[in-house]
Amino acid sequence: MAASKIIKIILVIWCVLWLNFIARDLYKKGLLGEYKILAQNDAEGKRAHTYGERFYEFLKFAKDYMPRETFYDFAGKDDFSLEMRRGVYYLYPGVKTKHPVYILVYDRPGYLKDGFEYFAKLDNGRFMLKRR
Amino acid sequence: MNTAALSILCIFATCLVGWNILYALSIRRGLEGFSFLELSGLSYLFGMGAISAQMFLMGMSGIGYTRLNILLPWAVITGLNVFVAVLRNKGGYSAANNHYGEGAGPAPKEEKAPYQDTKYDPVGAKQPPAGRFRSISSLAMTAALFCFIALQTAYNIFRALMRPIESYDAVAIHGLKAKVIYLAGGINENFFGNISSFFQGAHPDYPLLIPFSQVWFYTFLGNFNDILVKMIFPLFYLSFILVFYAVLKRITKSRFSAVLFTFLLATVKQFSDYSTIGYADMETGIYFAAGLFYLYLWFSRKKMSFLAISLISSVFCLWTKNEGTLLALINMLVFLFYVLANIAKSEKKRLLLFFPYAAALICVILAWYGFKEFHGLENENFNLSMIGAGKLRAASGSVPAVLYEYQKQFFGFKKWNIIWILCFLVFLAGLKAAFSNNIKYITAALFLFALGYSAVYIFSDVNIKFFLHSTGSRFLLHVLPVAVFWMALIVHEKGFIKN
Repeated sequence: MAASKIIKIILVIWCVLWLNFIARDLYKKGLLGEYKILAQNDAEGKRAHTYGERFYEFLKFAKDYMPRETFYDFAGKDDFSLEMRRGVYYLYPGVKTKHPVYILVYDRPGYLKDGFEYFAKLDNGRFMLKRR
Repeated sequence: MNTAALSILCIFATCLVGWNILYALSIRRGLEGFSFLELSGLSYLFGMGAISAQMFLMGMSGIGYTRLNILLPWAVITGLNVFVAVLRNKGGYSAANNHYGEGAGPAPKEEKAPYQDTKYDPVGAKQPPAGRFRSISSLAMTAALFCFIALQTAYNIFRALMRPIESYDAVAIHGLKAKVIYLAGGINENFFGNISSFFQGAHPDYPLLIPFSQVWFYTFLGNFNDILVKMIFPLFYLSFILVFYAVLKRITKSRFSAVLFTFLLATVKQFSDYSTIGYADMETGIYFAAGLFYLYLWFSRKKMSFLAISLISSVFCLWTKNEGTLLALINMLVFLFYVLANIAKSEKKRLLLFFPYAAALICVILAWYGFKEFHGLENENFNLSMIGAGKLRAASGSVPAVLYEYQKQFFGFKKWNIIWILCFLVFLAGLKAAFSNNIKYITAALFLFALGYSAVYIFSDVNIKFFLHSTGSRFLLHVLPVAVFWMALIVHEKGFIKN
C-alpha cells in the first residue's frame, strides 16, 4: 500500500510539472500566440514567421535575383548563426562560399567590397552585390 | 493526388516495408505473439531504416530514386510473404517442414524466463491476468494515462507540422544533406567531398538515416516540402511509444505498469521536444533501446525473431548517428555478458547465436568505417586517434565543471521533469533487483553507456566543458528510453505496482 501511495504521489508531482512546463511554453513563452499565427498561415507564411519576416523577405529576394545554382556569401550574419544556417538551407542549390559571385548584404548599410558592384536592392540595409 | 494524401500513403508504404521485414524475420511462426500496435511501431521504425539504407546503396550504385525503383524489391518480398502466408493458412507450410518452431529443432513453445517459475516471478503470483484491473481507480488511472499519451503525441505532431525544418542541426546537417541528395536525384561519388568543401559544419561523416528518411519522403511526394516532411519525426516518437508499451506489457503482464512508464517516457519534455525538430538524437535512443529491449526479451524467451529485431535495431542505431556505433557495441557487449554468465548452463547451442549477432554487427560497422576511410571522412569532434593519456590528465582538471553539468541535467526539471531523480531513487530502493536476474544486463548497459560517453567527452579534441554544455542534454536522450525501461523492470521486480 505504501508503494502504491508513493507511486500516486510521484505521478501527481510528475503531472503537475509536465502540465506546468507545457503551460509555461504556451503562455509565458508565447508559443500559443505563435501557433495561432502559424496555423493561420500557408507554407510561405509559416516559413516567414519561423525564419523572421524580415530575414525571410531578404532570402526570397536573393533567391529571386540569383541564378538557381550559383555561389554566394553573406555579409552581416555570423558564419555559425542559426539565421545563416537557415539561409544556406533555404538558398540551396545556391552554395555559400568564400569566393562568391554574389554577396548578400543583410543589415549593413553602405557595405561594399573590392571587385563587387551593387546588383539589386531591397532597402538600404538589405541588398546584393555582384562580382564585376 | 494531393500532397497530404501522398504523405499518408508514404507513411503507409514505409510501414508496409517494415511489416514485410518483420514477417520475413518470423517466417516460420508468422507474427504470432506480436500485438498489432507493436507491429505497427516496429514496422515504421524498420521501414524508415531499411528504405534509408536501401536508398544509400542504390545511390552509391548509380541507381536513381523513383517510387517504383525503391518499392520494387519490397513488392517482391511482399509477394513472397503473401505466398508463405497463404501456404501457412492452408496448413501446408508447417506440415511440409514438419516443424513449427523458430529455433533449431522442433520447439514450438516459447521458453520461459529463468525467473518465471521461481519466487522472482512477479507475474503469475502477484498480478491478475493482463488486461484485468484490481480496481476502478486503477482502470481510471490507466485510461487517463492513455489519454495523456495521446494528447502529448497529438501535440508533438501539431508542433512539428507548424514549422518548416528550422532548428540548428536540422538545417545545417540532416535537412541540408536531404535537400542536396533529393535535388541531385541521388547520391554520387562527389557528395561527401562537396558536403565537406562547401558546407562548413555539415559533418559529412555522419550516418544518413535521417537525411535519407527525408529524401524518401520527398521522392514519394514528388517534390521538396520542408514542412510536411517533418511528420516523419513525431511518427518515430509515436512508433517507439507503441513498441515501448508493448514490450513492457509483455514483460510486466500489467497494463497499468506498462502505460505508467510509457507515460513517463512520452512526457519527458526533452524527449517529446526532440520528436518535433528534426534532430537525430531521439531516433538514436529509440533504435538503441529497441535493440536492447528485444535482446532482453530474447534472454528470457529465446524467440529468434526477438534476436533478429534486436540486431536490426542495433544496425539502424549505428546508421542514425556516430554515437550509434558505440551504442550498438554496448548491445553486443551486453549479449556477450549474457553468454559468459550462462555458458555453464544447458543452452550452449542458443548461446552460439552470439557469434552471428556479433559478426553481423561488426561487419556493418567495419563496412561503414571502411567506407568513411575510403572517402576520407573523419569526425572532427572525436575519433580513435584522439585517445591518449595526456587527454585523461587534462580532463581531470575539468571534474568540477563536469560534475556541475551532470547535476544541471539531474535537476533539470524543465527538460527532464524528475526522471533522473526517480531513476536514482529507484536504483537505491531496488539496488538488489538492479543486479538480479536479467535486469543486471540492462544495468550493465547503463554503466557501459556512462563509461563510453564519458570517454568520448574526455578524449575529444573539443573543450570538455563546451562539449558537455552543448551536447549533454541531447546525448542523454540516447539512454533515456533504456533508463525508463530499467526503472520499470526494477519496480516490477520489486512488486511495487499492483495491476
